[in-house]
Amino acid sequence: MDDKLTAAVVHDMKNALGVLEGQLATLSHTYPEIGAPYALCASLRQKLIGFLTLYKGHMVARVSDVCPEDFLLEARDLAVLPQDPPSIEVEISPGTPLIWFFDERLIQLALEAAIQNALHFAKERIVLKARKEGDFLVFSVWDDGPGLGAEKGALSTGLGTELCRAIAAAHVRSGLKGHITLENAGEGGALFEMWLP
Amino acid sequence: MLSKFSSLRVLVIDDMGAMRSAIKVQLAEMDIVNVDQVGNAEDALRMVESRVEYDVIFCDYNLNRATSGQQFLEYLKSMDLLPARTVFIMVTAEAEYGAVVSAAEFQPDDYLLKPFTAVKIRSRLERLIDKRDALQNLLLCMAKKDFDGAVAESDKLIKANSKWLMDALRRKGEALLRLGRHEEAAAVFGSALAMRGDLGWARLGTARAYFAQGRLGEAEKIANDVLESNGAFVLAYDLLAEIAEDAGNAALAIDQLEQASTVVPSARRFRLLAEAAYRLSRFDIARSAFEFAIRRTKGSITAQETDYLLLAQTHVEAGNPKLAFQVLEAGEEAFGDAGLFGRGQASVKAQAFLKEDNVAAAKKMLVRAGNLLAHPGANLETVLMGKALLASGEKEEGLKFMEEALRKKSGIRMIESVAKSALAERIGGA
Repeated sequence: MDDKLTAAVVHDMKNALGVLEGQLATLSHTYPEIGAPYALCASLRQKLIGFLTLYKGHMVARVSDVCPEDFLLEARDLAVLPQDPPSIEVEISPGTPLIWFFDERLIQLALEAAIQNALHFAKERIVLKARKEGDFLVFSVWDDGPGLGAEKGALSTGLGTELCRAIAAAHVRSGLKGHITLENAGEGGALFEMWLP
Repeated sequence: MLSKFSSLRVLVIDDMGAMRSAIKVQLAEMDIVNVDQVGNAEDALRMVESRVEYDVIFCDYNLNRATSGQQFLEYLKSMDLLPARTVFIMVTAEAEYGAVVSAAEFQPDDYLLKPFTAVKIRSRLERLIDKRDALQNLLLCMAKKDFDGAVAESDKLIKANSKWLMDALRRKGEALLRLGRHEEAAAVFGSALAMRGDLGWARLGTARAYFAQGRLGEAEKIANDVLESNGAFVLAYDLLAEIAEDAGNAALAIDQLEQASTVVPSARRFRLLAEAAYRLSRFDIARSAFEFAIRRTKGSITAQETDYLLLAQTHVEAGNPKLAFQVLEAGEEAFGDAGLFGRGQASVKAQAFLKEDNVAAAKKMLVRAGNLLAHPGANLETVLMGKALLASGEKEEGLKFMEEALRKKSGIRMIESVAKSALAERIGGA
């Protein structure tokens, strides 16, 4: 199948899911049991957006000044939660600058993917953190789940990680390049980090 | 208890009734009930002009009518119709976002990508209203063109080292440029660049300051660098065109503006190209660019009488009075024979009659133009009248109009440059 057609098909699917998602969101106000299908639908659509963002190839970061704390609070608020969700905390380390420069929409897309992943594995807690590390601002997503290598439900396609990697790499400043890390945290659970120059 | 949003007045512009209702329901969830909704830009304009100031406008990008959301925003901003306290949110589909952002010369306060939830609207509004309140005094000063006040307000924000620091630096730099304090402006843009070296607005602000100081080479280099890193930054083309125009390099000036109009093919871009081409006597380019701007805005609130007047004037100077009459007829159909168009067209017609050697009709038209133009000033009518008088041999009187157009420093290139070159010809001819 040629590239354009693939993109067009995925695009149509994404839009159709958007309509469905809207309807499920409305229904879920009245019927709590619709919450789970709504969350699933939202996460599928998010994946397709991620796929299309990656698929288009060359990614351009439109950098502007953003307050990291506001940004993480919004990321927390926007997370589509499953039933009995873990708590999501936001922590701003001392010394984190009041503003940093990045493409808010792209980084939001990346963090959403990371948070969705954390929601999948977390038992009780997820912590979103911002800190300054040398010339980088680091956003991290930690969950208290079983850590890397654990399998739960469907196998991961690796799309989320690939998307985060590409988005981080689109952020460049005076020879420094954004990047991500994914590892088991010392205190247990999985730790995802996004380093932005 | 009512939420902090409950007092907000909101306007929703979308051609799809279902979409308007959906947003209205989502706003109601946040206790926002003071919501007006319209289906097109024309109705929206009526609301904006007639009602108390809106706090927030949600405008769909794709309005499926003569005027798109982007054109509507450009119109509001260029006509100073958007109150400083109004937050303008452009609603776009995910797929068109990239194209919309890179082709947007006038940026809204934010973009909202469809589909969105009530939670998304809430979190966006929280931040946008927070920002608006923090910047309120500064934005009001800028809107009133009180640039001294704007500098003072920016300084307060800069001193407080708030999260709006970059907004404050940007506005302060712009205000200083307007005040003619170019060195200070360059320093302010420099302090923004010290935080982040690749900010397009700060680099271009520095280039503008250098240009105003006569440091053309440096200004040109920065503008070119900005374009190299972001080819969609059309304001850099404008600066390069101004530098070229001032250096008398017509071909280069036009080339820069043509490139900008390729990147952002808006009516405004073609208008800027057309006006420069006219000033530089490249009448063929001026003609086609004016025609594009007219076609692009036909039947829309964004249509401008000056496009018709200048296209007709271009035809006259290119030796085609018949075409000039045709354009003026179309203009009269769109705008009537009153106001700016009426005043301007009498002067253009006088020149067209002269080209046809119909001196009697030209005289009559000139008298009419004189009667309509009670107060010459820094505007297009005055310049056209000056042109008509000069063409009919009334040199001294014509030059007086040109001087009048220059007296109040309007900063409008189209007026100042045409008047200046008419006056320069006098000196050259003397």
